[in-house]
Amino acid sequence: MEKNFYSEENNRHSELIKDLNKLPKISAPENFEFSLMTRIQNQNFIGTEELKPQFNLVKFFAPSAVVAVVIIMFFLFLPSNDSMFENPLMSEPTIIAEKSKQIIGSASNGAENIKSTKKKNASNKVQLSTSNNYDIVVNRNDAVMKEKAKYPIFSKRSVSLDDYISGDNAKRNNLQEGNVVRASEESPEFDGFFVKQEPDKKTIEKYRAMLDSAKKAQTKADSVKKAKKVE
Amino acid sequence: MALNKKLSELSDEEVIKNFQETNNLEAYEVLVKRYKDPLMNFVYRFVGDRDACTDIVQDTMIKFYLNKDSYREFAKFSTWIYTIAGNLAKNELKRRKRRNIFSLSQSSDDEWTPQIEDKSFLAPDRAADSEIKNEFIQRALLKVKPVYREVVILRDIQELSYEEIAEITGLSLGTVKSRINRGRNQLQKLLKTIYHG
Repeated sequence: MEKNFYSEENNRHSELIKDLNKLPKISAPENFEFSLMTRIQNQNFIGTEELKPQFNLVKFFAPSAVVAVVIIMFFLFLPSNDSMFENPLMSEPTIIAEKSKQIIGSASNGAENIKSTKKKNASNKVQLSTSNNYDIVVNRNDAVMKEKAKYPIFSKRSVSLDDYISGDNAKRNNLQEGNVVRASEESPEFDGFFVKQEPDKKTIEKYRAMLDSAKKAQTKADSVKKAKKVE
Repeated sequence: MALNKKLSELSDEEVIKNFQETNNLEAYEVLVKRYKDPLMNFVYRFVGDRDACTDIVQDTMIKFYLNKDSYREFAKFSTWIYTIAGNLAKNELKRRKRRNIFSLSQSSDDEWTPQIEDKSFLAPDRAADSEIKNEFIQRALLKVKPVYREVVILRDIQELSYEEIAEITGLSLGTVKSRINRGRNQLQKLLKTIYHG
């Protein structure tokens, strides 16, 4: 079967194969056996022995030497970036508890309401935090601290333009700012921009006068009603 | 004399067994006589240098003498001795190649290469001349890659079977056949001035 398969190939090269067969046969020189036996008797086996690879100290240490040199060069010639990067192993660890303060709620009118970050209660919290605000801060170690809120509204849900312009809001990172604006699920809804403004004394007095006159008018009206009932 | 006659009548495997058991030099000589010429022919066609070829065959015979005990009965003696000779011939080629790389002068092989393929150089009547033809075939043979050359020589010049070649080279039967075919193709291409098509 195999012969038939390869006979085609043989036919293609038939002439060449014929010529290769006809090549004159090379025979050994006449003194071949004599010289061979002489070599054997004289134990002259040079050239036939296997060459064993000799241990070369230079070849053995060359690769490791190259690696060592490369490492040394790397440390010597690489530009130092120590000023730019702080070694995290050398820097003092930051207190994680302080960073991870969770502002749960704020109190108003002396009452302290602990607020959760759930959306459900978000609207109530805003209403409560309009005046005399305090933030209740719970640390990781369950210590509860009361801090006076900077703004009349919930700090996490607002952006103070004054602080933004003056650069006092540097403590808030971009993520927090972004969350406030886009009102993601992680942070409460955005309340809006506001301008902190000192109340005008004249206006206050004007409104107070108006309220007083209204109260007086009310008391007068009440006394008139009482007088009518007595009659 | 009687022993000699007896040894010469024995098969290769029986003779080497005798040599292994008795360390009889006459048995060794019988095998040397049987294989010196076939090995010379094989190595000469493979290496292309008569002096180097004689040295290689001598070294083959010495290796056989020194390592006679490494021969195992299940293998054919002919394939075993051909393997030794083939390995030594390959080593010689490697040594020459290395020498050629480091040598500043051009090797003589490169000088005659164009002569084979240059049709104008080789007149048809001259190509028909058997001696010149043989010379060109030998030169073309040396141009064929050694892996193909070896199997082509073993098959088409030494007339060994595919199985024997597979045993000598340590290749599978299929690989041997494909290499022979590729070798022949290469050879025919190199000798296109003689074999048209």
